[in-house]
Amino acid sequence: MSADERLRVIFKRVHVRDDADWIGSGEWYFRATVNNTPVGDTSFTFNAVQDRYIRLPASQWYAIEPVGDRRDVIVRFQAIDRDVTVDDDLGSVEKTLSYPYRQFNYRGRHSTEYFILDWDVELSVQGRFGRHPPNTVFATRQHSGTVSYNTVSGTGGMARLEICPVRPTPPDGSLPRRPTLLPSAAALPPERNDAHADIVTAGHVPILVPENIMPNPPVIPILTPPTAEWEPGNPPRANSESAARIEFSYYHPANLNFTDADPRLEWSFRSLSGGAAVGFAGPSQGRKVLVYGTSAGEVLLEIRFQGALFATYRALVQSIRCIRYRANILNGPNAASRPRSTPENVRDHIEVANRFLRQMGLMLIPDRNRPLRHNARRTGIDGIFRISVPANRTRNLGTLAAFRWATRRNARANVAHPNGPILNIAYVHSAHRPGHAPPQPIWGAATDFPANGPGAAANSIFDTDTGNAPAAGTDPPSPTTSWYRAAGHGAGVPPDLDPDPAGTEMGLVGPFQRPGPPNVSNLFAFLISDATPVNPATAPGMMHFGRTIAHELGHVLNLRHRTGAGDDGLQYPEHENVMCQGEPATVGQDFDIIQARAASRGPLVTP
Amino acid sequence: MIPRVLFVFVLAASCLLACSESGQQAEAEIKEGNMTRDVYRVLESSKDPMELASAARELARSSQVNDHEVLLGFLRSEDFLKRLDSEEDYQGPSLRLRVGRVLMALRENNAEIAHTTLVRLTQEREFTKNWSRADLLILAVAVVRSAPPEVIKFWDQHCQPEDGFMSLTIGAIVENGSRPAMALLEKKMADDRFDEEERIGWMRVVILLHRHDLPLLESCERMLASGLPEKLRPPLVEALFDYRPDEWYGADPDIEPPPLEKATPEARRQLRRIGELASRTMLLSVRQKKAIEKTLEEIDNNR
Repeated sequence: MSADERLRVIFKRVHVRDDADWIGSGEWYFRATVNNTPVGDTSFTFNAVQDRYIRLPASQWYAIEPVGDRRDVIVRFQAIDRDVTVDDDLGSVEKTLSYPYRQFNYRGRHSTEYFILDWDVELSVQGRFGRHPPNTVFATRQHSGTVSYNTVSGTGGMARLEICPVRPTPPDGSLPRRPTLLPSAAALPPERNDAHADIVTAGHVPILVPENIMPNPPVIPILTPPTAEWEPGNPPRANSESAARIEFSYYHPANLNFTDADPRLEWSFRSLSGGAAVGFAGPSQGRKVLVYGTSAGEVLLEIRFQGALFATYRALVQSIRCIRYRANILNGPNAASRPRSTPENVRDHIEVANRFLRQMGLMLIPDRNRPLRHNARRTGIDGIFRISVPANRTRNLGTLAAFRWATRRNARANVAHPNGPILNIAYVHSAHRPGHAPPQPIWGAATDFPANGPGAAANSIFDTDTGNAPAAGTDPPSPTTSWYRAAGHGAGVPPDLDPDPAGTEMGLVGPFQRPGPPNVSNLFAFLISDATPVNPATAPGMMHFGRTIAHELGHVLNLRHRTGAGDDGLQYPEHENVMCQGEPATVGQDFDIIQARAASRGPLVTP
Repeated sequence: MIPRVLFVFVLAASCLLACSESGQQAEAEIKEGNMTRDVYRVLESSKDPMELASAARELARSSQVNDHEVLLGFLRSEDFLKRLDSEEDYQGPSLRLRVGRVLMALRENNAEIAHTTLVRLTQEREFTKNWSRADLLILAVAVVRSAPPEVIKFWDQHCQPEDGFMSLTIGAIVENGSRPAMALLEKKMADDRFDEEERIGWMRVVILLHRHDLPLLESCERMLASGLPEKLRPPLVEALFDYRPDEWYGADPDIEPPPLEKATPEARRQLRRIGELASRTMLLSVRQKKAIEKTLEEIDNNR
């Protein structure tokens, strides 16, 4: 509902103190104006009996005044006694209503020696006049990073809403500075919704976990609208488990008590590029919405608080892209040289990885084609195989040569494959960096990937709101624009002070390919090591292995670490990104818009 | 002339002191004996792995021969080892095993007896037959310098093609750095049963991390002069003088060479000698030559 700032003055009744007639009752009529506009029927004469009330017909004795421009409202009321010869002026009362307005019952406050006027001021909230609870918001105004609001009781404050693209949301000290709020966050605390996603908890089966469990993704997937006809070959239908979950991470003050489907918060979108369009699977109101794409490009979601722009959220709109994989469990000759992960565990790990990858509109699907290599054996689960190897090929792997031997096992040749490239994943018993005391265990290692793009584009990628190339010499210490615009000083609301208007540049890695003929050199591969304290069959284990798969696939898609060795230059967030090196799976969960851009143009991702 | 009274007083005081000291010593011995007996009781019968690990570590940190004899006895015992770490524990990473903490305590103990215990363990088949324990022992004995024949033999046995220990062992050998260890390294580097790419990998990880250690540099000089197959000599030169993380480590470039300014003067002289030898006798690429030149220049600038 757009802004509805209207005020209603209702003249309710007149108490007759003195009827002004020597004998019998008076014959009174009234002249009332609201901002000089006459109100009521001045031709009608009321019988005025001393110490009694004259009730004014509600259908006539009111005026509605728009007050969006915060004008003063001048209310005047005059009573006149009709006489045979000359009418007697019984006096008038006047009141100026100024911003901030408030609903009020004026009883006994405005009088002359002859009468007392009872009248009301009501404010319209979402199209409805009436007596509203005192904290009901009446009017809002947009500012830089905040919205000022006034309630029907005349109080007000500064409100702020954030839809942080990073989940879990980093602590306040790591976020871009917020504007000063009044009342302060100490006086009126905020409401937060910033926890990590529990993709798997004890007893959960990953395949049953909704695909859209990670909120605020950088990619809104293109899906079939909920009520449209679906045919084979169409994208999946949009519903509560497939559409992108976009939700608040913070609002202040908490006593605004926003709800999930709150009509005070209205969502809309506009295309930033490519003619992007989205729909809402469910109401487009409230602090949480489900959004699906209908046309590719880049879109800006806008959230308005009773008409005032409150926050924005930028996202890409793309189809879900599939990456075919093979996963090979490399078993040595004895229990001390075999990964603990079973084929069922690997399947679960892939499902967890898919929840992380969904943020970038990517999904791993098993390769179902027949030819197997290196004596790989089927396990009954599509895309997952076992291979018997010597102990040194799966245990205590410490060099690139050893890693690459492992990831070559049962790899499909990727030269112009009709189904697109196949990702090869090797599960090994243990891998580490030798030479340290103790050796550093390695959870995963990407061993083969080509460049992300040709020439200079292979080394970095830019992200700007308009998609324009940045000015030469752009120095990107600032965070990505998605981070900044949605959760920065301006919460993405004009007039934002974007510190990096030319755009943000993120470094890429690659190519990293082994020498050899095309069917060897053109691999996309990584290994997963069992050298972790978590059991791969448990919920924490599934989270760990799933996140590690998503992380290593990130490298294969040319993403560098966000923080850690060989970082991508952005450094934000410090811990909460999937590409932050060494973070636990309950912290490093996020992929952002600039990473999604880079990933989508990688050669492993088929259009 | 000391007055008699004073003499008697001093004598009495001395006797009292002597008795007190021997009393204190006896008390300490008794206390220690009690402690050892308590620890023994725990090791003998406790089923609490944390308690067992704590008791074993206490013995490992000791400088008393008896304590180490006791410890060794238990580390030979399959029953004890099973009480310390369960079958499920052994399915996880070796570094997480509680027996590993005992070995680390031995490693960190500077007392000679602790290192002797480690060396003796390398000969205990009951202990080393388990691959996870063998991993841990390979790493623990790296501190025993100069590496005695038993340790060299143990490492040699656990650095065979296809055995699943070799990269751990190479790391331990290089960390050890003693003359016998370097001889073993040279032997392995020259062994064509090991994959060439694997040996290059050892250079780019293990040798690079220690490339300013003097014993290792001396060993590298010997390898470049004659011990190493010719094809592997340029990669060894690269590992000593160059650093190409994107090319060698890919997306996880978390291996960094030690800074040259921290190298000792002897190490820098040795590095110079190697650089000059390589430039003189080897067919190097332009890039490899430039890497040597750059390093020698840095050595000159840091003089």
